[in-house]
Amino acid sequence: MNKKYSLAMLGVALGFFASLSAVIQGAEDLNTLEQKALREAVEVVAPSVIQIETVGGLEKVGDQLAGGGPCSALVVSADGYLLSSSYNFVHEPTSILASLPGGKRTSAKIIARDHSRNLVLLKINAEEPLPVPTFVPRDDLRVGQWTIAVGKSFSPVDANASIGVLSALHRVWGKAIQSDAKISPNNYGGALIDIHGRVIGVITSLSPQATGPQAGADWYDSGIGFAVPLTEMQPRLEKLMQGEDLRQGLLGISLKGNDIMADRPEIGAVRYNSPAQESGILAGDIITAIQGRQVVNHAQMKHQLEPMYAGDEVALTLQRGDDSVEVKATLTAVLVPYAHPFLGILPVRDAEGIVVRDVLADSPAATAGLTAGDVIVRVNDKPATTVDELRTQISALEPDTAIQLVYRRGEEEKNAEITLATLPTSVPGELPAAWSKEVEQPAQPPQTGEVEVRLAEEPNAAFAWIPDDYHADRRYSLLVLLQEPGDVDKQATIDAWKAVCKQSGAILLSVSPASKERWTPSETGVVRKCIEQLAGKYNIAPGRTALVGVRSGGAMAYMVAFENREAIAGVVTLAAPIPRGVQPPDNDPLHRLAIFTLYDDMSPQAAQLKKLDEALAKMKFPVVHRSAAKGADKLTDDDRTAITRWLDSLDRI
Amino acid sequence: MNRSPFVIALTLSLGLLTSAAQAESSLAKTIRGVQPRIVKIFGAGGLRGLESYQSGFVISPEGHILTVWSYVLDSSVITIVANDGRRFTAELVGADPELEVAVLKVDADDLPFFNLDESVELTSGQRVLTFSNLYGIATGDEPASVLHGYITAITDLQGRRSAAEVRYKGPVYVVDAMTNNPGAAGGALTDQQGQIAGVLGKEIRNASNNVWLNYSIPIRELQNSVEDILSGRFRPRSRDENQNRPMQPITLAQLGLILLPDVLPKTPPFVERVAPESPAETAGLRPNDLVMFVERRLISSQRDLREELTFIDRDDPVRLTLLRGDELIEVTLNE
Repeated sequence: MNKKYSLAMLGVALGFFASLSAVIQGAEDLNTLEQKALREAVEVVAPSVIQIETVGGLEKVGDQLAGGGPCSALVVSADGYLLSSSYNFVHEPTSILASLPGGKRTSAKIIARDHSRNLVLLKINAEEPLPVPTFVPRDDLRVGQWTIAVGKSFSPVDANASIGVLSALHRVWGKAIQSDAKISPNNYGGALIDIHGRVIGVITSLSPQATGPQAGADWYDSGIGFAVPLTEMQPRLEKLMQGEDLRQGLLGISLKGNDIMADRPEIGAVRYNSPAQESGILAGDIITAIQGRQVVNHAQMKHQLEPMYAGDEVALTLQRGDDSVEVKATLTAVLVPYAHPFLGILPVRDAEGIVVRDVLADSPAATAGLTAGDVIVRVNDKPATTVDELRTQISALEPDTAIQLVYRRGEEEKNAEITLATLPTSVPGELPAAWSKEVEQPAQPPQTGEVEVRLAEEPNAAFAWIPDDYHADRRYSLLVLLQEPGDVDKQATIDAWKAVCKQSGAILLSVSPASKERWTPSETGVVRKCIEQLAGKYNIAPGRTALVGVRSGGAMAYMVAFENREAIAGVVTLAAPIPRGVQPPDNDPLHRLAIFTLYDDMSPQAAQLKKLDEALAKMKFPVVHRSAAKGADKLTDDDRTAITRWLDSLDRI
Repeated sequence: MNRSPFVIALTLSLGLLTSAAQAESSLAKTIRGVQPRIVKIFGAGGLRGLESYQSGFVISPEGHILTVWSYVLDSSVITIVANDGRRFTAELVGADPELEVAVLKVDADDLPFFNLDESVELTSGQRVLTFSNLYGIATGDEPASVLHGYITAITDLQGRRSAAEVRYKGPVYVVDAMTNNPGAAGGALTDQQGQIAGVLGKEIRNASNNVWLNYSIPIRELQNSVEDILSGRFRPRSRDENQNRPMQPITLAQLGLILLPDVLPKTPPFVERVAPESPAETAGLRPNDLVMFVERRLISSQRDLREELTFIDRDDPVRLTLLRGDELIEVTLNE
């Protein structure tokens, strides 16, 4: 007993001394061991990271100096297929060279591209089998674990590396994992590995907001970097190897609401000829699950859908009324450009039911003989009660579809079969009044005439003009002038627009750029905030809000409209192109955007502007063109009449 | 045999826990040991967005300070603020314009210093520490900022040949710590034990892919130059960029190479025609061959090719690597 005890004590003592020396030893050992492990991990993967050099190509891509320096690619098959980042090839090199692990150079070719995850598949002629690294499935990864970014940007033999931890597992809508290791053009196309030298993914530039092969590259070395997990690419490799490009899969739906974290994924509209329509999805359905995973808001739906590719089949669970419906849709790379169907009527704005205010010339409604004052009661056996309902119902149909319309003229009910057309591209003639009833003035009418608009945190000058017969019960059109840089003559602006705005029920808003020289792209937010501030005090219809700009103001108008589809319904430009690098969005069933261009048809610029009109028309935007006076740099009274009349007709169906 | 498993478990866990904590504190100790050797340097600049401050470190018991040569030193008064907050007026002892380093001296003999004879050479993959006055955030007696990093690569500094901004072309340590910041130039790079390994370089971009480069010049590259400056033996090296160019370089015409018209800044050097009975014809060049390398240098444009030929004497052979279809072919012209 006693002996046992003393032995135990000795054990404690021995253990204590042992641990003391381990403390001193361990201090350096831990740092050294960690360093050794990191270095060994890099050595394990280094032969599978191949240096790529490119020759020729563009000097500049957009405003950026194109790289063109050595970059990296990762071996994905022993017979010579490599994955790299598409960033490395945006400058369209004339030829591509790869340095084999043995040091020999060989030529490489781009076989296919993954446009969704910004990757390219290269093929080289390898005489010896290439070392394929071990890949780690995403499910085995843990946030906080070591990650090492490995490239071959500096040497074809020695890898360059940067250390960090795994920051997040599902980024860029689930397409990538995130690391804080320095990720930059120095290692795009290389490997992100774990401490054992196993490959987590291919390093590339990506952004959750922007698209294109350079998206997210401006974040380089910032502590935010992305890699595409390789185990997710493996099932796709065969397709890429056959030379087929991969593109993000599209379903063809528009959702209701704008708050992606709060709003339910309720379908506002289904694009015709889209996978959604073919699979039987209907407007009003709510998506409750994708691939068996529950989704409750827009963001969760994007997380499930955006990583999918064209050609993939997606299983959706929908709530339709009280029923749960299961559908399957095969996603597509390109949606047929959506054109809004057009019936040809303007509704009276304050009427109960759908009363025709005007029938637009040469429209299907005009052909069927409808006239002002008719009341639409039924469309395709469905009762038509409100203007909004009718608009949504029509928007789901394809132009050229025939509909059965029942309308009332006086006491008489009439039937018509009407073949829908597309939105008109001409300015309507004089329109009858939009309102049928007189409104009583409230006791304290809000301020009319000239109104100051000031944003607390922005230096931009802005003001509004409110018609003196303004009434809060009526929804007004809004005409936003995006002024050219420099001083604005307030009184002259108001005098020029006053009469036509009053006549068409429009409020005028003028916004100037902060700088005396130019508009800057970040000021799209300022314009939006000015509109919101005004809409907080006055009753404004987003469906009849249009931006008007001359030259640089016009270019800005395009940018603001493309970014704020739900708040802007029209763009009017005088001699203004769409700024370089700005891509018009797809036409959308729920958010209509009409375009009105003015320019001198004889000017040197005209050919280019006409091409732009045609491109927009091809995307199915209704483009109205009006020829401006020779060398015009200002709008004339006639132009203003045409613009306000066009604006007044934007709630057409 | 009789030892209680409980005791063993206890000692083991005790040992592991304390060694992890100890590893951390050993790093803290290293950092505390290095910081007093770093100084903040204030001089010219402060206009047109140029900073008027940078970093340096003490390298002798007499108060010599090593830093990078820059416009900051281009001032009649250079002020040094030591780690303890003391201010000194420094004298410029000398500078090496090619390595772009300078040695200053202050009148202080009690500053902790690095002995350059004890500098260490690093290898790729080593974990390191960097010490500097980045963004000038350390003021007065505040210690310099520390960044923790990893030697990403060891490579020759690729300055653009046309740009004279970086003259040094020797090996550098590339680190993954963001040292490419205003004020960081002249700071110290050490290993995890705090032994001096390099001087942090100025803000530059990588010439090959235009990315900001975080680099440090190894002490061994500077040591001779620093010793020469300290002993008053210093003679600046020639910075004549043309010194290696032959008097009569070879031209494309002499080789018999006619390229596609050079219309773009980066027109690739495709062969359009080969002059009859020229060195190019003898070597078997053909129309549509793409010139990829002259010797071992990658050629990315016609401009590059012409530039590269200016380094070759008209009597010397020219070794080219061509891309013909998918095949890389090596030829020697002018043999």
